[in-house]
Amino acid sequence: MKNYLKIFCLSLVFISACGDNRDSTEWLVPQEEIFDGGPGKDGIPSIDTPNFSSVQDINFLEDTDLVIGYFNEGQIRAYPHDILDWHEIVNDDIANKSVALTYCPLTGTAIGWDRNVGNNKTTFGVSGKLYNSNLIPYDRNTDSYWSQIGLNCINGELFSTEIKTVPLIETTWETWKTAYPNSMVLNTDTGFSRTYGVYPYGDYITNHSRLAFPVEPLDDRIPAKERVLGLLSDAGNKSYRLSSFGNGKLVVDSIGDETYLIIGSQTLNFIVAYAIESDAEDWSYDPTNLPVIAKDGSGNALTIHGDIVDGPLSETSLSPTVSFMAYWFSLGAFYPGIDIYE
Amino acid sequence: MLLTNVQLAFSQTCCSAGAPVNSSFEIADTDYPLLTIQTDYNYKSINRLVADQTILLNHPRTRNGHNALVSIHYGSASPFSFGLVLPYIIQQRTSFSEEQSSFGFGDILLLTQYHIPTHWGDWSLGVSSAIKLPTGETDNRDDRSVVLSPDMQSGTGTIDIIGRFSISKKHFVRPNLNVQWSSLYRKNTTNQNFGALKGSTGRAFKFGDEFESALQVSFEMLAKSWFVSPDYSLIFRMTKPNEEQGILASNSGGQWLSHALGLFVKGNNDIGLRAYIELPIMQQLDGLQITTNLEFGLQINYQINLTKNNKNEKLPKNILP
Repeated sequence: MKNYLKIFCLSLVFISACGDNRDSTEWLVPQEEIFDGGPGKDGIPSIDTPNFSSVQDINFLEDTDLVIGYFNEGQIRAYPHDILDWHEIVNDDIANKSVALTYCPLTGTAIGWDRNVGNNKTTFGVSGKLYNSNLIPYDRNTDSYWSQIGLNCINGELFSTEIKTVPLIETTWETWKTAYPNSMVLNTDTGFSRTYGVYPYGDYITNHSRLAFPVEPLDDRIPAKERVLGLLSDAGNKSYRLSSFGNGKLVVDSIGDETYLIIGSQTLNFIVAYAIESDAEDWSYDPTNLPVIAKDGSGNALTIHGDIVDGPLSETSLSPTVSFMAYWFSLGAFYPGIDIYE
Repeated sequence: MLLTNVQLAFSQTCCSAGAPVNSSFEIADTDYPLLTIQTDYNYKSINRLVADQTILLNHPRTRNGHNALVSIHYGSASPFSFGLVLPYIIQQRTSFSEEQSSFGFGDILLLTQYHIPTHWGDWSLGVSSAIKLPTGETDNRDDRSVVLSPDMQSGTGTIDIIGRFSISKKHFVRPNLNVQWSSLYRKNTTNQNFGALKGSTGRAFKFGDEFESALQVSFEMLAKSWFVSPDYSLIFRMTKPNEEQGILASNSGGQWLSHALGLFVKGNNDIGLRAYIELPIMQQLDGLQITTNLEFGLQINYQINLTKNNKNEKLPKNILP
């Protein structure tokens, strides 16, 4: 009995020693590159109870406005930049998935995060801090701080934990309406009073010289605000310039031993990336019937969101990747020396 | 005769790091060596959310600022007078998930005033200049050791220059209505290394230059042995946008019109007391900003006559009961 008691007491000591004793001032990234953006924690309020309207009922978007799209279990939703610019995070539940749609206006990055972190569902908020000019969300369960582009916890109880992403696409409202007329769209009934539709940062998007916070390193191989797709893999990272896709192009590319299908169009304003088995697959770009963007010789038709909707492989999907659109400078800073597809 | 009905006003509507701009700028005109020690307390509620001209519901954050000043002014028969202002700044920022505050000594202000000699009876002209020194704290941090934003710092880390002109007429409407008009311009410089840590370069930040013009009307009267002077002011302010990394920052800068009611009292001693409240009338801001919706302040000044015979005039002349 005494031995069991000793073991029990030692266990308590061990458990308490393994608890959260991490110093709150310890950062996974250089602390001198963390800046306070000004509004404070939740000064930019996340949307935690989003409301949606059908495409036909949306009247505040212009055709050239950008939206972010997410697909799960047949449910399709769009989140307009016009709203994301003012809130940066939307905590949503779509079918069986709890997702945080995170968007940083300063780096132009929309990245979907799985809200199940460490087997606990959480919501994310805007911490008000920035790393390399990029959004730092915090999770409300543990108050840990995360790097949006770094995809990991950089401060707090979940230190160095990696976030699981969900695939998103980014395109214009015009392309979205054509491709997904029956989708639901985040509306301006957010519970907050903001001037949606008015871009809050002046000429920031087009001014390549304008960075609000220091960025290190600053890679000038491409103009700072040019939009590119960043593709991250265990074998390496690569970027694809939207401008190189013109009226539409399909590329089969490799990073290490991995093969990827990259499809994009500057005209329709999207780039997507999917993992494929080999470069033997004969897909060709064909946007004549959106959301289908590619077909192969067997009659399979691939949609923007990766589902195959016709042909022998119908009702299957290509494997998603960890990829997102970004302003070039942010990829150059977070992934120094990242390859550029030529 | 000496009256020190000093107007207390802060030019930067939001988050004025460092010393307040128009505070304690007026050094009284005097015929004998006079030392004035003045303490000021100012509170700002910065909780009006405005997009251009439209007032929005401000949720979920709040901002408040507290400033305490100690000023020492010296004047004499010479047209030149001098002053020193030492501020202490408390900033508070809250949301539903965070209460953040910072506090510390702000930037010291050294000022010089020249009373322009006139032969216009009750008219008085003055020009002032001040230099604000970067003595205040710029390294206030949160509980994760992240340097707080510039507007949450007590100091600015910069040397700024301020120039002011004032013209006043006592007994503008006889016998006891006075009027004063003053204008001020503040030229700010850039802190090139804001937030620099461990040899890093930090961030370049500059508060936008400011212009302020105020018209004040005051009424003097005697109530038993008390000198009482209520005043009303109309205040116009304009600031240029802040600069971040050398580029004009969005959502900063604008124009404001506000008004203030004040009351100055002085008994049969050397201590004067003033209280005021300032409320906004309208604003035209660049982008979306939080701005001041209420301001009030208290001021106590104590005058020391430094002449050898130490004759003090306890009550002002030419004030009809």
